[in-house]
Amino acid sequence: MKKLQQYSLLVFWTVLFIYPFLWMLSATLRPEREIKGFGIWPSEVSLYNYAQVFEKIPILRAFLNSIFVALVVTVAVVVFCSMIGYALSRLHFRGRDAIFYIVLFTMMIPFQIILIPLYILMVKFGWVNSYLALIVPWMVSALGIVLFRQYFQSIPKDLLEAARIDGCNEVQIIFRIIWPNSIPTLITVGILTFMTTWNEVLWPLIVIRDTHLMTMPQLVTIFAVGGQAENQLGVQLAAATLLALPVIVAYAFFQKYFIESMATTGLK
Amino acid sequence: MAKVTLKNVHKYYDDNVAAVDNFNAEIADREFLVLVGPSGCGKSTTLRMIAGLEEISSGELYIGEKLVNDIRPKDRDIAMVFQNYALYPHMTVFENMAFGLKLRKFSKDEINTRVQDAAALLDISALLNRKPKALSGGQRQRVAVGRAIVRNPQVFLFDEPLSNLDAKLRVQTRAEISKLHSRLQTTMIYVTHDQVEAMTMGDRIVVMKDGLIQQVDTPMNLYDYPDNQFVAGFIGNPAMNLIAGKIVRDNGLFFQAGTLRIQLTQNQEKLLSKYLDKEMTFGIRPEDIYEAGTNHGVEARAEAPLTVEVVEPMGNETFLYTTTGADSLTVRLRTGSSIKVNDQVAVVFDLSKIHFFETDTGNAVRAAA
Ligand SMILES: Nc1ncnc2c1ncn2[C@@H]1O[C@H](COP(=O)(O)OP(=O)(O)O)[C@@H](O)[C@H]1O
Ligand SMILES: [Mg+2]
Repeated sequence: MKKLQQYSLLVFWTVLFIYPFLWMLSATLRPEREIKGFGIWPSEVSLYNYAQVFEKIPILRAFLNSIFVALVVTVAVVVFCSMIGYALSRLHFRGRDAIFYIVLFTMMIPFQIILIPLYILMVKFGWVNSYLALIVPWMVSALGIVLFRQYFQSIPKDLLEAARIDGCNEVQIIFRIIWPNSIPTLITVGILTFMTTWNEVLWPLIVIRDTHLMTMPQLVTIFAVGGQAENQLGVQLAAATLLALPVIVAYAFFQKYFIESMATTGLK
Repeated sequence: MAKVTLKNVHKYYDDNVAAVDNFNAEIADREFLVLVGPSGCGKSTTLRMIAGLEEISSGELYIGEKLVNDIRPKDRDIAMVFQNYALYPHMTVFENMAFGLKLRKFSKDEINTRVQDAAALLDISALLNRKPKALSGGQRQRVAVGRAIVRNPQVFLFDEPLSNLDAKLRVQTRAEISKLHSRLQTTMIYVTHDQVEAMTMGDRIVVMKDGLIQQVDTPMNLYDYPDNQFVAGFIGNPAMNLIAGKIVRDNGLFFQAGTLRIQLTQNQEKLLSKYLDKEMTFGIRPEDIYEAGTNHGVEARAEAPLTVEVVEPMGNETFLYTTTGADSLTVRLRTGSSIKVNDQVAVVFDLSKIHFFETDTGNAVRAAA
């Protein structure tokens, strides 16, 4: 009896949570005039809204831009942050902890504060309106460093020393010993970075003007807010659905690792 | 193969207390040297400095004739077996053993031969494709040794490699490592806190305490001629009886502690006369005490009445835990005996086997050898 109550409660919350998404999905599949009220069963199904999106904006190009930027940033973050996390957890040098606290501190600074200086920097470098502006500032992340550092601290010292005696240099230790033993953390940082990069709107809006360099969220936002969608809700929602799709697919794919490492890194 | 020389080696951690204080030793080529001492005495630190895992604060370390203070672990031609084995969890047994060779760019065939040979020697050939997780403690230990052997290093370093094994396996593996040593004919330096391991395995033993070397000698010499009270108490099980008292004169010299009174031999009188009325500690091993009246065949002039508190019959021998006044004494009898708890027994001491230590410094007092 108790179980039944618990399950009904869970089902209730799940439905409550997921309903807006289902509604959105169904809205994209029906004609504009039918999008009203809370019902989710379309009377007729058409891909017209999607066709409109592809016709009006270079969404495929934006998709590829997004993939490219997010992948490069993710690989960079995983490589660089694991190296930094290793240094901050396993090497001994003066000022190590001070550096770590500075890294922690940067996490407290709201992005809005560094937005303008960062933009000015991009202008000075001549990177505005290029992939460089989308990628380079994000190649290292404080959260990545912290997660790697915390996890690496739990790796037994003996293992690294055995590797050192076996003939590894520090870089080989990171990639041949630490990495294979940190897969859940690598995946967590990877997913977090990929998602954050993928979802980023504000920064691309600031540094990218050229439509062909725009990332998907940027393009979709401009499309929805600007006049191009002609206030057609169905088309706007279709664009938003396309935007969410890769993230959902990626999450479904890595979900197991994701939950596992969220639990182990204590980041809940 | 090479000798290892440590000259005035010190190690200070951040707190500026010497973890290792002026370590001097010359470890001969092919020697099996054991570092032994209670936990925290600096054994591992010494070993890790030899391995290059810990910086040497001051002093010199030579492997062969070469000063290696600033040489990285991988270039010192040493191999180390860790207490927790430190096998790479993501590699199979084969890969674990091959890793060091791969990094040194050995050919595939050479790697294969060496790993197979070592595996055969250690009886782990059947395990080569397993991951460490799927091995028992004893098997992991062998793999760790295997990983060290394949490299064919000049010096093997062991840091308490048996302490995670159960008692029976420990005894067995102890013998195997000794065999391995005579077979490989390599210098081995072995750290343990277990004096039995030290006694049974070492060609020579270094006894350490609080970062300081207490004594370096062969097992039997350590046992028979401890340089100080600490070594006397540390080596041997059950431990040597140590009783604090005084040297007094009364028709000749006596050692007196409470009711216990031992007349000294002429030689001992000569040695100890300058300690008259000074605090002295008297030491005797449990097996050098005999039941009075039995046929023990030793010249034994001192007798003492003891009260038996615990009797431990072991079959081939019997331990008596006894008291005399405020002091306690352990006695080892070679035969079974009918002695019971609360019995009073008279015993004799083999005076040729007793030791004296200055109570304040702990140093042994004995005739120059
Ligand atoms: N990394 C370290 N930092 C500070 N002190 C240490 C460190 N490693 C060991 N010590 C100290 O040095 C002393 C000797 O340690 P160790 O060599 O590990 O002893 P043992 O192996 O004989 O048990 C101990 O007092 C220990 O607390
Ligand atoms: Mg130790």
